[in-house]
Amino acid sequence: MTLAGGGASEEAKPAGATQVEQEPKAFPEESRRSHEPLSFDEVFVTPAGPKGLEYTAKIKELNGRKICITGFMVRHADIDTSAFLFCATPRAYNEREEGLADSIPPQMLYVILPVRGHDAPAWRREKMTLYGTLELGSHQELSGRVSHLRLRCEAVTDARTGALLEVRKPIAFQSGRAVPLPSDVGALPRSDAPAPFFNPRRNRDNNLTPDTP
Amino acid sequence: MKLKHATHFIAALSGLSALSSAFAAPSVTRLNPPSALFSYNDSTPPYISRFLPAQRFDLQATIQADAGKTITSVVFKVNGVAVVPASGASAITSIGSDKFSATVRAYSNNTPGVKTLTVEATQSDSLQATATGNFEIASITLNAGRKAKNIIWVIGDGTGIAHRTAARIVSKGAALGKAVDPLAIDTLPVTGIVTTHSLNSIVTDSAPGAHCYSTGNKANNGQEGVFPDDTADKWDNPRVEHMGNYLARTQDKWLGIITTADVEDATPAAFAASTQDRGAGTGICDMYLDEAAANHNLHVLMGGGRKWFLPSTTGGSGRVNSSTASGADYVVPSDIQAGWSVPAGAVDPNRDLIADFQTAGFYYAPNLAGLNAMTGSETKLLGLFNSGHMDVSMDKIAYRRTSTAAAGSLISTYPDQPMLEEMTDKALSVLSKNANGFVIMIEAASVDKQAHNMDTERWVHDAIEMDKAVARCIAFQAANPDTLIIVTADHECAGINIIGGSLVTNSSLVTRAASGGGAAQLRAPVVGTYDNAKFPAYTNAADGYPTTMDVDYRMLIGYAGNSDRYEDWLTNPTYNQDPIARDTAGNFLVTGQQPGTGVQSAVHTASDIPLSAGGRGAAAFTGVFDNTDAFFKAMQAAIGGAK
Repeated sequence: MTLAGGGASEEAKPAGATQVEQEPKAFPEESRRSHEPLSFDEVFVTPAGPKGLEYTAKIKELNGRKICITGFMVRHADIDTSAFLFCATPRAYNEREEGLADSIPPQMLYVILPVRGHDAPAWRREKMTLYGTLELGSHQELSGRVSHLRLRCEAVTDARTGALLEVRKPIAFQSGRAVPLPSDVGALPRSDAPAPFFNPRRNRDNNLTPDTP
Repeated sequence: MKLKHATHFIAALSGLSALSSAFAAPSVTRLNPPSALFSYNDSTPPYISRFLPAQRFDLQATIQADAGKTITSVVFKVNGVAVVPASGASAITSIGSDKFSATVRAYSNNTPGVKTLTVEATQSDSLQATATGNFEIASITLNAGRKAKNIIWVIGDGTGIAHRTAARIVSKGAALGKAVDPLAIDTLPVTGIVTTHSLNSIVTDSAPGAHCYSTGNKANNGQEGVFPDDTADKWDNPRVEHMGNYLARTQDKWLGIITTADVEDATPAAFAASTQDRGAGTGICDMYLDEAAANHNLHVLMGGGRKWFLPSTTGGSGRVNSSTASGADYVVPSDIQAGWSVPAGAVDPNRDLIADFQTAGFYYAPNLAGLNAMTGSETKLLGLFNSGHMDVSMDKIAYRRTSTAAAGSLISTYPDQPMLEEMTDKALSVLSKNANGFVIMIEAASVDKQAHNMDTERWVHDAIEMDKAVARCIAFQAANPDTLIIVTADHECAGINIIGGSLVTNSSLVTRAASGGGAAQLRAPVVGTYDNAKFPAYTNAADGYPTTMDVDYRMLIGYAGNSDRYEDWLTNPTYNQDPIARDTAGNFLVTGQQPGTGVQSAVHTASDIPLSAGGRGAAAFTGVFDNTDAFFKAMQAAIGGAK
C-alpha cells in the first residue's frame, strides 16, 4: 500500500524517522511497470448497442489484474467514506439535486481506498493516474449506485508529475461534504405539537384568531 | 383522624392518577389530504387540497397511541358520513414508537364543494382521538364549449422568464428596441404567471413542481404522486390520482411522457409514479409499465435512463436489489393494490424491462435511427437514448455538424440521440392515433440542469431546443384545433438574468480568459450594461441552431441563485465540469450566496414563472395563479369544454 500520507507501512519506518520523511515522493518505477495501462475508451464497446453495454476484450483480459488509469475525481459527496468516483474528464455531480438520475458515464470507475480512521476521500482537481487491481461486474454500492468497474486502489498519483497524492482528509474538515437531510423535512405541523412560531395564515383579515390550533 | 385524613389523601392521589391516565389520550398527528384546517385550525380558503369530481385520492391519518396501546379502529368521515372502503382497500399499520398509520385507499367524491374530513381513532382501551381537516371538490362547468381532445404540457424545467428572453435574443435576435422575430412560445396567445411553492417550502424542487400539474395538488419536495406520511417506506404514501390515469379511466385518452432527462427524473416521473423518493429509479421505471401502461394508457415514453431498464448483470445497468436503497425497486402494500388495482411490484434487479415493454406491444427505439425506422403503424413507443440524462442540445448539434463529441459528454457512447423536436414529432404521430385524444408531457430538462451548473451557453441552447419542440406542437394544434397547448416550467432555476453584453470581441475574451488577470481583465473591461450592452448578434446555421455561441460582443448572464464560480464568459469545452474548477485560468472568481454542498451549484428560486397557452381552453390561463390551478384549468377544458 503506497498511498501517501499514512498509507506507507509502519513496519518499514526506520527508527527516529518522521512519517513525512518516510513517505515516498512517487510511486516506485518497478510498481508502475507492473500495472497495465487502461483508458476509459477501452471499457465498453462503443457506440452502445440497442440495449446494454459490452465490455471490450481488453478490459475482460484485465479483470482481476493490476492496471493504471488516468482521469479526474468526480466532485460530489458520496456517503461511502472508502470510495470515490473517477471519470475521464473533470466532472461535477450534484447528488442532492439529481439522485441517481444523472449524467455520470457508465464507464465511471468506482475507486475503493483502504479505510483510514475518520478520513474520507475529498475532491481534488488534479488530473490523476490511479494504480490498483481492476474488478468487473455489477455491484450495488452503499449509495445505491450500481458500479460496473471498480479499482482496489494502491496509489493515487498526479498524472503530470507522477507524485503521490493523498485524497483522504478528515471528514470533520470537509466543509462541502453533504449532511444527510431528515427523511421528511416537510411534515406539516403536528396537531399535538406546540403552535408554530409563525402561522403564515394568521395575518389574514378573516383569520385573526390566535395561532394555537 | 390523621389516619383518616391520610387515607383520604391517598385516595385523592389515586384519583389524580386516574385522571392523569385519562388525559394521556391518543392523538392524531397527521391527516391527509393536507389542510390548513388540520395544521392551523383555519377553515378558510385557499383550500390546500382540491380534487376533480371522481378523482381518486387516499385518506390517511397518523395516530400516536399511548405507550403499550394499539389503535383498534379508525373511521374517516366526510361531512359526517362514514367512508366505507372497498374490500381490502384500508389498513391500520403499526409504524413504530406507538404510532399507527390508518389508510383508506382510492376515495373519491362526485359532488363539488368544500368537505370536512374527520378521523376518529379508537385505542385498545377504548380511548378515542379525533381530528378534522378539509378538502375541496372542484366544480367543472359542463357543456361550456368544445372539449380539449388533446392536452400538451411543455415544461421547460427551471425555465423562468429570463431563460426565454435569452433564447429569443440568441435564436431570433433583437435590434432597434424590438425582437427581430418571436419565439414560437411567444406566438401562443395567452400568458399567465404561476406561483410555484411546494407543500413544505417556498422553493420547490422538480417533483412537486410537476406533480401539481399532474394531480392538481401540492407535494413535499422530493415526492411525486403522493402526500407525505410518517413511514420510511417509499411506496406506501397516500396517493393522488394522476391526470393520465383519470383521463384514461374517464375518457380513454392516451398518455405520453417525453424528456431530455433520464425518464425516471422528477418531472417525467411526477406524471405517472407514486413515491416519496424521486430518486427511486428502478421502481419508478417498473411503475411506468406495471401501473402507467396498464392503468394510465401510457403509450409513449422517451428520454434517457436506459440503465433502469437493463437487467442488473448487464453492462451499464442501474437496477438495484432493494426497495429501500437509493434507486430503489418498488413493492406496494396490499391496501394500495386493492384500492388502486395495481400489482404488488417486486424487487427484481434482473428484470429485462425493455423486453417487458416490447411484450406489452411497445416499439423500442434505441436512437434516432430507430425512431426514423418506424413504419407509421406503431401505437406504443418506448425510446431510451442514453444511459442517464440525454446529452444537451449544444453538444448533440455540435456532433451532428462535426462528428466531434464534447469532452465529458456521452455522445461517443450514444452518438445518435434525437433532438427534442424530433421526439415530439414521433410522439404526436403515435398519440394522435387515438380517436379519444391524449395528454402528453414534453420536458426540456437540461435548461434546469445546465442552469444549475451555470453553464450559460448550454442552457440557452436547450431553451432554443425547447422552443423548436413548441413550434412542432403549435403546428400540430393548427391541424388539430381541439388541442390545448400549455408551455410553462416547474420553477425558476439559478436566479438567471441578462445583465448586458460584452464590450469585447471573442478573441479578446479568449486572451483575457488566459491572462490570469481576474476581475481587472474580465469584469469592468468586459461587462457592458445599459447602452453599452447594445444588441448582441448571433446567427443560425442551416439546422436552425446558433452557428456559434462564441460571438463577438456576446450576451452576458448573471446568476442570483449562484454558488461560487469562475467566469470567463466563454463556452465551456467540457460538459458538466464543476463551476469552481473550470475557467480558472482567467482567475475571475464570482462568489455566490449559497454555499453548495458537495458541488458548487446554483439553486432553484421561488420566483413566479411564465405560462403561455394556445388552443382549446387557453383563454383561462391568464392572470397570476397557483401551479395547481393550471391543472384545473386544463381539466375544465378536457371535461367541461371551453369556448
